[in-house]
Amino acid sequence: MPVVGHYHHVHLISPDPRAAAEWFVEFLGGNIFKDEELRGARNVRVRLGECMLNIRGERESDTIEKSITGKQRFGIDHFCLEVGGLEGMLREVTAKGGEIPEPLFELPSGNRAAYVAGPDGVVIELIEPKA
Amino acid sequence: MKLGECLLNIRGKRPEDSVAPPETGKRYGIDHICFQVTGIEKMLEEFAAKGGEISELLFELPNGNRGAYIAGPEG
Repeated sequence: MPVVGHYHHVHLISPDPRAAAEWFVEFLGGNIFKDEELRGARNVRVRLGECMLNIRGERESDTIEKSITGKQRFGIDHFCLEVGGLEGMLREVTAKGGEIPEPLFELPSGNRAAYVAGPDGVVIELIEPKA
Repeated sequence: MKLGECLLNIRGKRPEDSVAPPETGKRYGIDHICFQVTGIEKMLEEFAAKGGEISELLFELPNGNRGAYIAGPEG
């Protein structure tokens, strides 16, 4: 099996990678552990539990589609983080001014989940496994 | 589907979805996901032999890790 372990990281692009990283610290309790120039752009690394997010700025070679259509697109849609205490987390997100586009719902498996709006249009699902 | 210990959920278009036409460049937000692999050179050879597109050839990061980008389905 050539793929080993869990995801190594999810990579985001932001016009302000430090500010985006700080969003994950403020709203989801992340920890910024590296902020460096890497391969032509600022790259900030955030740990969320055992997950790693890399958030980079624009490279000179990038052509960024800046129009916001409000539509989804095919391909990667969101990423999902496993959490504990989902209801409490959602209350905290709301209290800090965060947006919850899809409130708490239950999946057929009994797991509970919700979607929160992250920086730069990123959609994050929070899932709490059934006890 | 499972890839190593990673779970991918791939769903079709729901009737209520409003899906934008394909874009030509990158956009802010999620750019890619990264899998840790073993035998990367062989994987890339096999991938190319099957007609897969390698968007960015093998490169080395400052920490010594080696990486490459491949094009998946739907962009």
